[in-house]
Amino acid sequence: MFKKYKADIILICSLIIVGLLSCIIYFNFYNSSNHLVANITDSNNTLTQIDLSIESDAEREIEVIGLHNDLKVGVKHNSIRVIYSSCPHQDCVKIGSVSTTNKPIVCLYNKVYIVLIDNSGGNDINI
Amino acid sequence: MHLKKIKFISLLFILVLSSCGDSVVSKTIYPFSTYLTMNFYNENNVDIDYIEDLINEYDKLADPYNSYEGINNVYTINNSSDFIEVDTKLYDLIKYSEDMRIKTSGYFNPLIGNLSLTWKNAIENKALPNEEIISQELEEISNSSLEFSDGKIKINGEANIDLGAITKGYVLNVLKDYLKENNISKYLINGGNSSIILGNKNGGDFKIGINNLSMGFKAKEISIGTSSVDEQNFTLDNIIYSHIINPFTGSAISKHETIIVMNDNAALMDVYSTVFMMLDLEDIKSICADNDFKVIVIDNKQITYKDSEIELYV
Amino acid sequence: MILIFNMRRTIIKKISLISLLAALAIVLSIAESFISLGIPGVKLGLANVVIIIALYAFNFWYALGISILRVFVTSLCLGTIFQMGFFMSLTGSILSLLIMLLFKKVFPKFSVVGVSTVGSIFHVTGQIIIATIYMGNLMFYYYPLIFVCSIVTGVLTGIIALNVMKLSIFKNWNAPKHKEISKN
Repeated sequence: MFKKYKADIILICSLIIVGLLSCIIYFNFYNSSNHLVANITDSNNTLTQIDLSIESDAEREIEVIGLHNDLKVGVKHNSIRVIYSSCPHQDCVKIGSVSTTNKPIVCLYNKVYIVLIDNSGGNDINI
Repeated sequence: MHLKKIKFISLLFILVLSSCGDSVVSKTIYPFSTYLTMNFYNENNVDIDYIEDLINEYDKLADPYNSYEGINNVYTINNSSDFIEVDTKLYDLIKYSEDMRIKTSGYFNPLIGNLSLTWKNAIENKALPNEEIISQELEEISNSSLEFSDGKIKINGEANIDLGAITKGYVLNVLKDYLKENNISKYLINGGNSSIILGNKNGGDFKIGINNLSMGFKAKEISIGTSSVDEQNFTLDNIIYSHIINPFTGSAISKHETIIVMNDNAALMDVYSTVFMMLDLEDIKSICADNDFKVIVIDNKQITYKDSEIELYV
Repeated sequence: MILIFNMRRTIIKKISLISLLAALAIVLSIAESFISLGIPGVKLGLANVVIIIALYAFNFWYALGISILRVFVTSLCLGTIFQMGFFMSLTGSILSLLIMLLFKKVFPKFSVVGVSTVGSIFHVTGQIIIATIYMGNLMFYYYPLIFVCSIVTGVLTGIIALNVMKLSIFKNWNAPKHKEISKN
């Protein structure tokens, strides 16, 4: 059987190796700064910016109204997550807490996107 | 563009920094279809509720798209052909806008409502608006005027009021005066990243980063106005069409990528940050020299010009 | 006469089978829209089993027809027609099918499983391209993870398709016509 599918096995194994290497390289190449700013957008406009570095360790909740319905977002020191979304799959909730700049939280259904920006230059604001 | 409002339901939050005992009081609210963040540093007497109520009041008064029970606002004026009696706050704002129209030789025009809405819809649909409609709206603007009488305002003609290019700056200027009267000096208030008033940061400067450029500048006790094509735009055939509309040509193509302008008066900065997007560099320099403005002009992700007094850091 | 009668029966059988496949693709597509694997944009790809079967048992054009019909009907049922999700699905399906055809023709050494895996990768790639056009590079951040997941789902759909195609009903649809004439 293996002889018959030899080409497939080589192809799939090569692709898996390429994929895993990309994941390893990509997920290790990030900024886990102590000065993170969360940019919440609807892809075209900044809806809000939250300076996570001045948040406390106790999580506070903010409400974001997206395209179809609302999201509840939990914000704490250098970390953000979606607590609840009205989208059917809750993928944005399953992503969990995010504390690095290479992992945005995306709610495609409600068109709300949360991206962390490294503000370790210590800027009070970025314009 | 139909912007979504974000409701902010969390409360005031106080952070005590470890060694030096600094406290930052921070609150974000969502007026004027954007966010407004207030940071106060070691200021214990700030009445944040009063400030929030004041801003929300202006938000309703300046709203061109919604009516509110018991309030005569911009929407009311736009939908009437008679004189409308308005609150002093709105009267002064619209009067100031008319003064700005004259000062900017018409590059800022409060009667740009219909044209602005046409382009907002164009940006949302990512499609150019009909040229005939633009021409018609330009004609309406040039044939319309504002009339003021004893606390009442009327629009003569078919144009509509939209104060989007001035309200944030104007309100922040009012806030600045309020804070000064109450001896509050350690603050940063950021209106949607387009209109900012700075006090001082415990006596020192604030560090202002410039997006996409990895550099910034330090500033305190000043007002900043910024305009950029990077937000609220769409691109067609490599041309960027943004929310900054020329009231003479109806064009949404700006001459510059980003303008950052600074002076004491936040309302002036809000207006001129928009106006400068439509002007050539020489005209910008000339106006800055006459009015003691400091400006940074950015094109193609590079600083084309900056005032010599502004020191940049990387 | 018998030849014409047999040919008619064959054509009716073919149309019926393709229609059934199209219906199955639509049902599977709608069903898997309710299942989430936790990563935005990653689906099981059950409907792709049907597309692969159509590609191998019949031809590219039937597979394309079923694929486009599936995307349209699913989007209509879910209320997402002509929105970002619709264009993501359409682009991914067409790109995936074109690449699978190319692989099938140019690299006959690869079996259904290999072709399905490559198709799955290009399906998600097409979707990411459309998502990037709409949203900027936000979805691109997830591409390495989605790439790996698409390999797994591609292998699974390929194995399922391979076993389903062993059924006699899917055999000989692409056999040369002259063999039927010679029997009579």
